[in-house]
Amino acid sequence: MSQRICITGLGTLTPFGVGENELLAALQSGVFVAPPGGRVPEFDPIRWIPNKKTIKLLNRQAVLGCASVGAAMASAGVGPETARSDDAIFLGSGSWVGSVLSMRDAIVPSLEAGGRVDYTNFCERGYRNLPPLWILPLLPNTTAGQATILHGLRGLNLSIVNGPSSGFLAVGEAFDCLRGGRAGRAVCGGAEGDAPADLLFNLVKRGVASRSMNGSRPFDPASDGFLCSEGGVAFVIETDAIARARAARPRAWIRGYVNRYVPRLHTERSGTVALHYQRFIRGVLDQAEVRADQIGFVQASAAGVPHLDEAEALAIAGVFGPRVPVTSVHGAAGNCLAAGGALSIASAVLQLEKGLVAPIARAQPQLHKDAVCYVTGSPIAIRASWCLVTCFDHLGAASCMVLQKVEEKS
Amino acid sequence: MRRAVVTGIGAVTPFGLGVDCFWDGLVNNRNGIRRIQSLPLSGGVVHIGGELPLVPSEKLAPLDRVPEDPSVHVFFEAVREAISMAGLNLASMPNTDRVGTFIADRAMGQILYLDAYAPLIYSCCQGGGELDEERFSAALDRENLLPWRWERDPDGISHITAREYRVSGPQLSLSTACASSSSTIGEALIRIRRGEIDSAIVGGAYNFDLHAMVGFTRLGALTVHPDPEYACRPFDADRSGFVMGSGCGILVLEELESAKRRRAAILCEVTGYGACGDAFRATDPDPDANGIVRTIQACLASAQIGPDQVDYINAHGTSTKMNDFIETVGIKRVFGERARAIPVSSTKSMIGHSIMAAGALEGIASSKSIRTGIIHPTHNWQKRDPEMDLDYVPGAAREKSVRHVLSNNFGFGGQNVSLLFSAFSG
Repeated sequence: MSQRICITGLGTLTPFGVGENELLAALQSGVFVAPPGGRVPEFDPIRWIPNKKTIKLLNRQAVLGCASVGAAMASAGVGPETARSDDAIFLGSGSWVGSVLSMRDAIVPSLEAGGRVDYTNFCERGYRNLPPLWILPLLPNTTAGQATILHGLRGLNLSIVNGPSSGFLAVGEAFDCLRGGRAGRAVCGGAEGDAPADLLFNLVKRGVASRSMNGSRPFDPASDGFLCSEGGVAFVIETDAIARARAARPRAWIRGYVNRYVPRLHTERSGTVALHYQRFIRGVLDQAEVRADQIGFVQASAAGVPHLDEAEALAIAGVFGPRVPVTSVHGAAGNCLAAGGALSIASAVLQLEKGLVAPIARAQPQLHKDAVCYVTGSPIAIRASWCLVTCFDHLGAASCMVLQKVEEKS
Repeated sequence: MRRAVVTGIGAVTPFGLGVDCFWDGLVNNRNGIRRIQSLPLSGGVVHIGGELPLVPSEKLAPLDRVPEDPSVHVFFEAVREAISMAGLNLASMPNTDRVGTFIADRAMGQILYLDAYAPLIYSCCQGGGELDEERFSAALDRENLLPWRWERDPDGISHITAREYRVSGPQLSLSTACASSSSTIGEALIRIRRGEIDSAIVGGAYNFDLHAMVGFTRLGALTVHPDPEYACRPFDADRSGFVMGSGCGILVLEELESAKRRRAAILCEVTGYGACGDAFRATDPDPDANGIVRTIQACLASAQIGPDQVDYINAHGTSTKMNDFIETVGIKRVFGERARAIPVSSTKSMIGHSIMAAGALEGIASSKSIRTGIIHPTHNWQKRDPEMDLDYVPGAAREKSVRHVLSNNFGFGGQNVSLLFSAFSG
C-alpha cells in the first residue's frame, strides 16, 4: 500500500525575498512584482552554507540551491542529528549550461584583433586564467552533491535537468520515491541562477523568453514571452509515519503526480495540445481520488508564452469550467525556470494554508476569459481543501500535481 | 514482482556506429583513443580523447526536424538501432503514456559557436580588456546574431527521441555526473517494477566540448600522458588520470510479460539497482569506500542474489589513481576473499570516459558478455599496483559463462550507482 506523503519543510529564496514570509507577503499583496532582472535580493549564504571556501566554489545557482535546501531543512526541523541513512535528494538543476561567457577569462586574452580566437594562445595561456575548480559548479549535479555533503544525505541523489520543469519534476519524483517506499524522507526542489546573455538571447530568439515590458503576463495575449528570474526553492517531504514519529507539522499533503510529454507540441494547434493537457490533468485527479469539482484552485504554470498559455487555458476550461479560481505566480516573479515549478508548488502550499488565492500580477488575462475564472486585482479568500498545480513547458513537458490542505485533525 | 528485460541496444562509440562495431572493438582489445581532431586543442589543454565517429550526414537517418547540433543526429543512430532491434513499433500504439524516455543528455551549449560569438565579444571589451556584458547583450540584439539555424531543432537527444517516436510517457533527463546513464537504467527499472510504465528508452549521450576539455584539464583529472595508445590504463600501477570520451548508449527496457506478448527477443534482464551518496567531497570519493559498499550491497539486495553469484564486474575503472583504488577497496569489502576470483574489466580503457553515456555503454557491454560468454579485457593493464590485487582481465578477452554482471559507475559529488544485468532464464 502506498504511503501518505506530506511536506514538512519549505525553503524559498525568490525575487520577492529570502524566506516564505516574503513570498507570502507578495502573494497576499497582489501587486508586488519582482524587481527587473528577477534577482533574489542580497543575502548572506553563510547562514546555510557554513563554509566560505564552499561558497567561493559555487556559482549563483548552486548557492541558491544549497541555501534553499538548508532553509527547507531548518524549516522542517531536520538536520544531522535526525538524519536517516536513506534520506534522499532530488534537485532540479539550472538551465544555463554551456555559455561562452562562463569562459570569458580564458577567451578574452586569446582574441586577436578583429575577434578571431587564437586557439594556440588559448591552449597555452588563456585557459590558465580559469581557476582549477572552475568546471565543478558548471556540472549539473554539483548543487545536489554539495547539499549532500553539507547535510550528510547519503541516500538516493538525483539531479534532474529537464529545463524549466526540472524543479517541479524533482518534487514529483521525490514524492514517487517516498510513495514507493524507497526512502522515508527527501529533500527536493530546484534552483536557477542569473541568465548569461548568450543563453538568454537564444531563448528570446526561440520565442519563449522576453526582455520587454510586455513579458511575463500569464494568460495575456499581449505577452511576448516570460521574463527570466532566479531562485532556489526546496522542500522536505516525508512519509506520514516518519513525520508523526518526530512530531513534525505537515504543511500539505501531496496526493498525486504525473509526468508526461507532448511530443508534437511545436506542430499541433493549441486546441489539440489542450486535449493532451486535459488528459494528464484528469489522470492526476484520478490518481489523487479527487473530483474536478473538489479542486479549490489551480496554480497554473502559465508564464506569458501565448501559445502555451492558450493551451493551458483551454485545458483548464475543459476540465474545470469557469468555476475554479486560476492563478499563476509567474506574472509577479517571472519565470525562475528550473526553480519555477517548485515556486508554483510553494505558492500553492502557502495559499492552501492561508485560505487565499493570489491574483495574477502584471497581466490582463484574456485567453478564453469567459471559460476560465482568472484571479486578478487582489487575492480572494477561499476554503479550499485541494488544489492542482501544473507545469507545462516549451520543451514539451507536461506534469501535474495535486496538493491537499492539512486539516486541523488530519 | 514485475521484471524488466532488455530487448534492444544501440551504440555510437569512438569505434563507429552500432553495437557490433563497439563489441568487436572491445573483445579485440582495440584502442579508440586518438589525438582530438574535432576541437582546436594543443598546448597545456589535454588533446587526446575518444571522439565520436565521423559520419557523413547523408548516411544518418532522416528525422522530422534535423538537430542543430550534428552530434545529436549521430546519437540518434543509437536510438534507432535500439528501437529497431527491439522491434518496438511505437507508432502503432494508441497511447504511449506508459513508455518512458529516460536519456541523460545536455542541451546545446553556445560554446559550440564560440567562433561566431568571438568578434562580438572582442568589440565589447573595454580597451581590449574586460568584457562589458551589458554591451555584449545589447550587441547580440542589434546584430541579431543567431549562430545556429532556426529551422533546426536545438534540443537534446531525449527530446528528439520522444518527438520522433511520439512518446508521451514520463521523461527524465538525469544528471548524476559519470553515473548518469546508469541512473536512467535503474530509475526505469524501478518504474517498470512498480507498474508505472511498461517500457522505456533509456541511456545517455555525451560529446565533449571545449568546456569539458579545459575544465577537466584544469581540475587535473585527465591524464597528461602524451601517447593516445597508452594514456588510458585503468587499474594499472602507472595510471595517471582519465581520458575524455564521447558516445551514446541506448537500451530498450521492457516489462517481461509485455516483451513476451509481442515475442521480442530478450537480450538479458536488469535485476538490480543500487544508488547511494558518499556525502564526502565534491571531487574525492570516500576513502573507506563506504558509499560504494552500500551501493553494491543495495544493488545485490535489489536483485535478491548473494555476492557469490556475481560472475563478472564491469568496473567504473576510469584510470585515475584514487577512483580505481577506491573501487578495488569497495569490491573487496563486498565480495571478501572471492573478490580475487571475479574478473573485473574497464570498458573506458578502450573508448575513454563518455561521462553521461558511460553507464549505458557499459550496460550494453555487460549484456554482450552475458549473451556471448566473452569478457572484454582492460586495455593497457600491464603493471600491478601493489595495493590492488584483483583480476583486471589483462591482455585479451576471455571466455567465461556469465550469468550475473555487476556494472559500477561513480561520479563527482559522491554519486554511486550499481546495476546488475542477468541472463534471462524464463
